[in-house]
Amino acid sequence: MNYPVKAFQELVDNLHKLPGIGPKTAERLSLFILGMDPEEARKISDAIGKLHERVKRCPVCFNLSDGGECPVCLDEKRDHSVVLVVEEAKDVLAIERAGSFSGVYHVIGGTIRLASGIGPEKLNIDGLIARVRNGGIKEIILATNLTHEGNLTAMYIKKELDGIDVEISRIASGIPIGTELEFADGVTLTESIKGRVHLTKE
Amino acid sequence: MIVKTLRASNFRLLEEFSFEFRGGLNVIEGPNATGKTTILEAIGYCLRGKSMLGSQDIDAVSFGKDSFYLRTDFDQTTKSRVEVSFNGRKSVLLDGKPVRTSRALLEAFKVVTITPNSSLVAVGPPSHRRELLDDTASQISPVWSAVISDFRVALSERNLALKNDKPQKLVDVMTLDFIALSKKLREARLEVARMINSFMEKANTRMDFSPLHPIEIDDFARLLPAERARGMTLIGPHRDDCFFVLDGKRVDKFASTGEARSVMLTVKIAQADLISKVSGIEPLLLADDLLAELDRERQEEALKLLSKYCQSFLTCACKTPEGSYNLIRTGQ
Repeated sequence: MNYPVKAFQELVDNLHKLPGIGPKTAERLSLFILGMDPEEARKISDAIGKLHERVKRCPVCFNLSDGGECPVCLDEKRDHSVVLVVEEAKDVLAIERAGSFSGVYHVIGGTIRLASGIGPEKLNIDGLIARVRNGGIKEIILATNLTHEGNLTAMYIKKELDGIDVEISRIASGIPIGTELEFADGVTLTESIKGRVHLTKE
Repeated sequence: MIVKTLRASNFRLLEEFSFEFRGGLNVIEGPNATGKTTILEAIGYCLRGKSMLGSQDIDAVSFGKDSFYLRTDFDQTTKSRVEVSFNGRKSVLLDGKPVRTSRALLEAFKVVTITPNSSLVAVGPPSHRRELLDDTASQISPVWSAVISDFRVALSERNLALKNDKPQKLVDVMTLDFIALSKKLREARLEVARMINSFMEKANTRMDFSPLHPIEIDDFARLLPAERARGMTLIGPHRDDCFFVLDGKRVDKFASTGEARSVMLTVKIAQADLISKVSGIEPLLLADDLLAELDRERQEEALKLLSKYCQSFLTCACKTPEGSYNLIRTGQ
């Protein structure tokens, strides 16, 4: 769609770049912003504009931070001997929301995908190995996604940790809690039967 | 499952069209370049979310336009409609909900296609027969379908690692992953070949699939220098050969054009029956220009075969022999 007003066109085109925003939604949002108080609109644009310079990466675990170490790494109450390895910072947010993990994290920043130019050297894997070598870590939980690439990346990290005295585990896969079997997809069902847990007799 | 209606806007030759179909055989008849194959492709697009001819989404947009839209409505209790739209970005909706992976479509809809190139499954290079096995496997088992798509990624990633001289540690991990997937894929293909044979109506036609190369870690260790030098994976299921045997003779070596066509048809029917039996969903048959090169008697036989399915589509550039089918004319 072409609009006669250039500034409006620019905003629509830029919003359309965001995931989940089609041309119609982009147009609706642009019209909404146009109707807003200019000061409020500027706040949105400022928040977007300053995002990249203000959000930093934690030098230890590569989680998002305001600069310096992230709140998780600074928290002395957490168990710093258990490190959960995830692909992205959003995975940290998800696990923190669940509130049941008391160890610390390591964000590797993606998965190995040579077709997209991402080899292991592009991920924060060396940082993880160095962290483990420095000592004080008892267990590494590999929590990359349960996709083919996530599994391959987990296998690669395990290989890199060969010869270092640390326990390595992988998160479990199966039926989501609170759902019914009939809605699970075939692959998940098959894997969950394969990875079944034996109940001990009392 | 029956496709009741198809609506198409700016899809190849179909600028603004709507068709109604019936259960049983639908014959689409008309002169060349009037959109017969396009109708089949449009149906295939809705069932698979992509072109069955292997073309890019952008190429399916009518000349001079920038987007296309397709919608099929089904006469089925579980799924009732699919919409595919493309305007630089493609969106596939199943009953109004976005479909993210092709797996949802594979589980819901079963399709067997016959195109003028299908005879290659009998006489062409082995890749066509591997494709037949893989297509069948993905339609009858979600686990196999996942194995097949993971295998393809694993193979191309490993090839990239070899070609770009990536560190040995990475190649080693990829090799282990490749071996694990290769074994699962071979198991799937062996099982599918066995099943196809058991569904083959003519007992004189068999598929012979026996993988040649062992794929153990030692085999890859031995081949590593050659693989590094050539920048590709030299052994594995992507190189497995399989062929059809007709009356004890290899079809790809000795069959005539007519025999090739008849083997292809026997195999496609076996594939359709197998998918129907195992998945419990009757496949839709999309047959493009099947009657060409067949004599009158075989044409009538083919029509009878297609009529026995819940729904099938056949395009035809010439006058179709008499029979009970729904006739749709194009180019009028």
